[in-house]
Amino acid sequence: MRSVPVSKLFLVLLGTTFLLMVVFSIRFTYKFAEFSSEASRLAQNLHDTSALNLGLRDKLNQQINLVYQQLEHVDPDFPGRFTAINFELGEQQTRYLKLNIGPQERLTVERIKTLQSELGIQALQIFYLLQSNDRTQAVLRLRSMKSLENKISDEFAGLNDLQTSKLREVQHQLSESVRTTNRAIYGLAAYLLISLLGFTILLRRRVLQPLRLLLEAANQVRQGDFSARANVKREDELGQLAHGFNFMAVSLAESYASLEHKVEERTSQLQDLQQKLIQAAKMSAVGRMLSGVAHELNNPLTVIMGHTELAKRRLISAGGDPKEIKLMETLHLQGDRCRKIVANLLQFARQEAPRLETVRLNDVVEQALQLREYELTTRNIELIREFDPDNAVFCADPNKIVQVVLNLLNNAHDAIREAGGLGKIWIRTAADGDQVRLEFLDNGTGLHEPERVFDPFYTTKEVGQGTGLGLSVCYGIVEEHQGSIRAENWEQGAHFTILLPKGDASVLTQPPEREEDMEQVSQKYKALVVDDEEVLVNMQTSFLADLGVEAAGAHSGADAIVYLQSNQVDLIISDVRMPGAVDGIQLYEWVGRNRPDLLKQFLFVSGDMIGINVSDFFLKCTAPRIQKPFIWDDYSRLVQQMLGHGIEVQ
Amino acid sequence: MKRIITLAILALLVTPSACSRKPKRIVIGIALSASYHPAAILAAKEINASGGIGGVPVELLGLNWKVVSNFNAPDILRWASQFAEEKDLVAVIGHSDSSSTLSAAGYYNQHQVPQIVTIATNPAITNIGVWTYRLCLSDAAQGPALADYAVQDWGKRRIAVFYVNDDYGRGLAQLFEQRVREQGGEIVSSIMHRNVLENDDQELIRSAMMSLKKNGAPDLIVLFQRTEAARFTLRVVREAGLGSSILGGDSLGPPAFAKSNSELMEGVRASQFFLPRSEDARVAKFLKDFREYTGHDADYGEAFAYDAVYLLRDAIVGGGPSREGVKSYLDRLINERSQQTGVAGTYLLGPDHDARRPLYIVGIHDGVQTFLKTLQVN
Repeated sequence: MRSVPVSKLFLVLLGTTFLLMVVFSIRFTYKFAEFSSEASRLAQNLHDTSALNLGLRDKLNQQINLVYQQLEHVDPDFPGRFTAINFELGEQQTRYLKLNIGPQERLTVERIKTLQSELGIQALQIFYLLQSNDRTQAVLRLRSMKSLENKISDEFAGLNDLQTSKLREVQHQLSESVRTTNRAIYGLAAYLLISLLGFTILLRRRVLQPLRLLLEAANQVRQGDFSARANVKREDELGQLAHGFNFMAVSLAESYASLEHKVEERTSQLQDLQQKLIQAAKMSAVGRMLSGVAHELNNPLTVIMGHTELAKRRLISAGGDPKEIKLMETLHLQGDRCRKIVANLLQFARQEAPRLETVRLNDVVEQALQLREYELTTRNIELIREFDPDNAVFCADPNKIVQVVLNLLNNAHDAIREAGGLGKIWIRTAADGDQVRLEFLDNGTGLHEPERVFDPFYTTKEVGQGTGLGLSVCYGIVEEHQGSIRAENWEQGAHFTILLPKGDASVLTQPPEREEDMEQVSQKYKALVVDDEEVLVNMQTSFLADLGVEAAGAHSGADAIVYLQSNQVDLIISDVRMPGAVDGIQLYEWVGRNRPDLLKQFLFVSGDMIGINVSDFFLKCTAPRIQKPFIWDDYSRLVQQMLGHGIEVQ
Repeated sequence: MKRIITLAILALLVTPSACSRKPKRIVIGIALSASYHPAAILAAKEINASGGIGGVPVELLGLNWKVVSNFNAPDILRWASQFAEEKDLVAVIGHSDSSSTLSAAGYYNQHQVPQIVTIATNPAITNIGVWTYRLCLSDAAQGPALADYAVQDWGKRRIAVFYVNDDYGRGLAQLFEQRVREQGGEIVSSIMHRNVLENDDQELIRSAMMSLKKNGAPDLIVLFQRTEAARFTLRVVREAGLGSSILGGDSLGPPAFAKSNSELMEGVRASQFFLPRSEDARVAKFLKDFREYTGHDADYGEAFAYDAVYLLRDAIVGGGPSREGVKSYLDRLINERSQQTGVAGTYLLGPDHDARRPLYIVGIHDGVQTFLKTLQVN
């Protein structure tokens, strides 16, 4: 049943009470005024009628006395005097009848009037009888008059009774009015009491109780119990308030739950981010340190590898002692090993953005597998491919992904070797929503501390067996690709999972064509080698000479500028970092301004790309570059490409 | 809010129309002797023949009341009560005599019923109540006027008065005698008797007449009596052979009495409220219609009853078909000192609710009234 609104109830109750009070007041006032008026009227009436009553009696008595006086002495003026009183009586009777009297009283006065009139006749007749000396008849008439007198007295007595009853009526009315007033007052008081009681009960049940329930529920909600509900099952204002409150509590609970969930999510994200920041901080610190170390190692390594390569070539071409050739190869190999270590260090430290291409995952992974598969097979380690038949496309720098694959293969190899027995490495590729998934599983020893494997320099190998940077490098490369890498153990060994963003197959990048072997240039060319280290200048000039390229050297950018101002060259090979006013980049810029024809014949040789300015420069610069320490085959191929295969071998 | 305003407007529209709603009945109470009924009936018929009052016919209540000559207070009060309780009754015409009128007037004023008095002349009726209006003269005017005529115009000094001991005779005799004395006249005898003469009343009148004859006949014998008592007294006077002049009050005014008692009334002068002026077309029509209706000529009581009905017609038209409306109209006539003209003549209602109209003295010869003089009255 639909509840009547509380406000309406209260309004009705108060309105009714007020109306009753007003009606009572008006009625009471009216009644009181009416009674007062009536009482005054009655009192006046009583006064008037009493006075007239007395007056009539008095006049009648005068008339009667006059008559009796005639018995003693007949007064010739009797008729005049008698009729004069008669006239006055008539006037008084008329005045009486004009008053507001009741029918009984009116009739009584009329009867008195009639009797008085007859008495007047009798009186005059008595007088005339006495006047004519007929005393006997006069006495007889006197008896009739006496009878009339008695009747008149009786009528006056009746009149008195009527007036007495009138007085009693007034008293009765007064008592009745007082009783009625008292009843009305008691009734009003009772009604007010009942109204107050009703109001109190109504207030309590319809307002206070629901409010208490609401308050209890509100307190519960305040203390965190969002399941609290205000149990007010009505549809009036407070019922609607309770509905609103309950709805609000539900909404709060949902919002709180959602907020908690979001907070948990954010907390988790923040924790991940914190880990990443810590990792990145670690990486950055280590990277900065490594950058400096790598830079210092690159130049001597370049010299070592360059000279050992040169020496080996010359020995071979001169038909030298195979043992010495072997010695040179061993030296070059060790140098190359150092180069790789430095390259790894630089890779770890390098903050260079990957050159993203859209490539197929299986192809890139296969490229890396082919580099190590033969070696691994010889060590009884089987590579088991479980590739995605769709060969998903993803965005990545393929060279860096190859490096990641290689590092993970190395890690798996080391673990299998430690475990002993036949080794297996599973390589799985798959599409995973808007990402691609690459997994490496091995049956090696597993990971002792999977949560630390990506920390730099973390290694379980003995000193000298590894730098502990391989997996850190993988972590860095995957992070650069906006991906994620996770390490865990599975029942047989270690399990690495890499997730990378998918790519758009419509913009698939074609794999680069394999470069053909470069031959010696057939034409006589001239080159300028610029490097602040003389040993590197000498080594390169020697190497170039072997290629048939006449090379001059400059030990600073400024020297190079001086040389170029007065000499013609076909190729400029310059270090990037050089002390002095002009480094490699500034030399390049000078060439661009002053010798723009040589801009396409500019080759950079760089120890690292760690610095922000350097890395930024090479993001925009299209000049080729080669990393120190470089492989001479790569160096010579690049030189030949740039000179266009036209150098005559001497 | 809109509903309240709509209801208020409807109430305002309804209320005036409710007030001006045509009544279903218009009732006039007739508290007169049966002899005066034909005049009232004639007036009502004429009014109804012309469409009634605002299209509503006039009804006369009380025609079945047989008023007896003896004063009967209970009967009077019973009828007065009946009149007052009749909700469509707008006024009462009556009563036929001063005693009845005085008895009923208090009741009518108490219950706020307009009363039109036609032939009751007692002075006490003046200002008896704001609901009572009188078309005839008060004895307070007639008594002194007759006394002045008797003494000054007629030259009579020694005057004997015979009067009925009721509100009519008593009042008129008192005022007449008082005025006579003031004028230097002498009241040699003042005989009071019952309305209906009993043996002792007759004996009293005879002995009084003998006494007058013995002591010297008065110049004038004044009769303030009703017709029955007057007839007896006139016979006694004629038998006594006093030779005195005789003057009668208005109760001896009806021409029919003079005509039917021509010998007794020969040479008698009487006061008269009504002079039938046949030169007035309306009066002539009334006289003609009344004669045709009743077979006899109209006297002042009938003329006043006729005028009373028409006065009430005018009051209902001008004030509304209610007791308050009639009263307000009559009060307006008083306030505006508006002269009214009826078949009984022209009159003016005074502030004391009494009419101001001329008093005539007529002489009777061969049973026919002849106009003698118009008396100046206040």
